[in-house]
Amino acid sequence: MKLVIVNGSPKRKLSNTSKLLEGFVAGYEENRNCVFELFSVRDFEDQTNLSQMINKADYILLAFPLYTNAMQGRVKRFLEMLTLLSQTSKESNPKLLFLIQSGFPEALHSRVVERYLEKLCKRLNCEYMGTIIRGGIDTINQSLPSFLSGRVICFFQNQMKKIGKKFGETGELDQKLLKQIAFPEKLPWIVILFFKIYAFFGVHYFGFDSVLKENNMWSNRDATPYV
Amino acid sequence: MNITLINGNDPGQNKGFEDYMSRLNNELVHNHDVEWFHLQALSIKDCLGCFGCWQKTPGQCIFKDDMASLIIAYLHSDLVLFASPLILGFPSALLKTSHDRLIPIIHPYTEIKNGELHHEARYKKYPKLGLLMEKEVDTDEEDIKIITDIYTRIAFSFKSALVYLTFINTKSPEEIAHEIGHC
Ligand SMILES: Cc1cc2nc3c(=O)[nH]c(=O)nc-3n(C[C@H](O)[C@H](O)[C@H](O)COP(=O)(O)O)c2cc1C
Repeated sequence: MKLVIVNGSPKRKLSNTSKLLEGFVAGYEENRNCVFELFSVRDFEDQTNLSQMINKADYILLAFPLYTNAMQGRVKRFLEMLTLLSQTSKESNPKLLFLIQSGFPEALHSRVVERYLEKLCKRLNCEYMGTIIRGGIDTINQSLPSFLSGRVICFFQNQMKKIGKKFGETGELDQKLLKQIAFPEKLPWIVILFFKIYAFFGVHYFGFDSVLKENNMWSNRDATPYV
Repeated sequence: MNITLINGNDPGQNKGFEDYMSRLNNELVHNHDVEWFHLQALSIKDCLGCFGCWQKTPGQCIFKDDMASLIIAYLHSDLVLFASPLILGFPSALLKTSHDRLIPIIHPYTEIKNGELHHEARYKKYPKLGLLMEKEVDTDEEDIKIITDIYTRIAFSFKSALVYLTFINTKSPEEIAHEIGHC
């Protein structure tokens, strides 16, 4: 099985998307005859590399961070380049799977885009294999001390590893594992309650404030330069 | 009204859309102050995801390109109209990049709205948002629902509401200008 992974984050290897992909790949590679190649969406600024990549792939995994409730402009441009797939038959086209990784922890932020991606596959004449959704890495990094946030991210990577392993075995994304990794779909009421209490005391600003203070920008945090 | 029209069409690809937009602009200027941005002709880089606009220079992007003047017009408008033909069931990449580059206008601090996490406002006032599109041959109800849902969320994130969404395929510029007047 030949998998091509396209990382849609502008931060490439330094991205949260890349962290999750590492987990996926670790599991995927445990299978025999499962090979992969990793690209950045920025490798496809023009069409030349693209056809080559497509010809090699049985599956393409497009992984991207959620930007303003959708895919980033750059990722949309990549999708527009894939239009060429709609000219060829479904049997010869690679199958597509996706990873959406959002700043906020709830999966619901990414669900509409998931619907878009499924519809997109129909347009491109490609089989839709499903979408992995995992949010919250940013929120976790900002609100937990680093020894704890590191653990949580490791936990996500392990979940990704299971998904990758199963995918290599079966050529499919396991629905149960997808559901597990997407947790929470929306914020549980208890979290909302704690958030509101924290918000009352201003505690939930802590993560952002410490970065702003480090940059000597805390007093400038509410700047409104454009009015 | 102060209206900012943000056109994400590539005229090389779609001349018809371009002509339509300039006719619409001619209609709108009778009754409104219209500022129009042609993204294809401007230099607007893709967002790098560095969060400099929240953490290093609050409210300002590290890129010094045409996005600054677009944001100034945006914040001084009553209504911002995004315009693009659909490409693969969604507005153009060009248009989407302009949304990505808007995050300096909101604040890194978070709040809970509708039971979901969102960012707080940076400015006191934000314009209402509208979306003008051209259907593709295969655009169906499902596509329209998906786009509407995504743009409703986008508007909400930018502390606003999607007050207008339409397709130019079956309406004259006069009709659309008239409808916009009631937004
Ligand atoms: C311009 C921009 C827009 C974003 N919009 C959203 C959003 O609408 N919802 C969300 O949950 N996260 C949003 N994020 C947060 C990113 O999804 C989050 O930082 C992600 O972890 C970045 O992934 P990366 O490190 O792989 O690039 C946005 C980030 C940027 C820079």
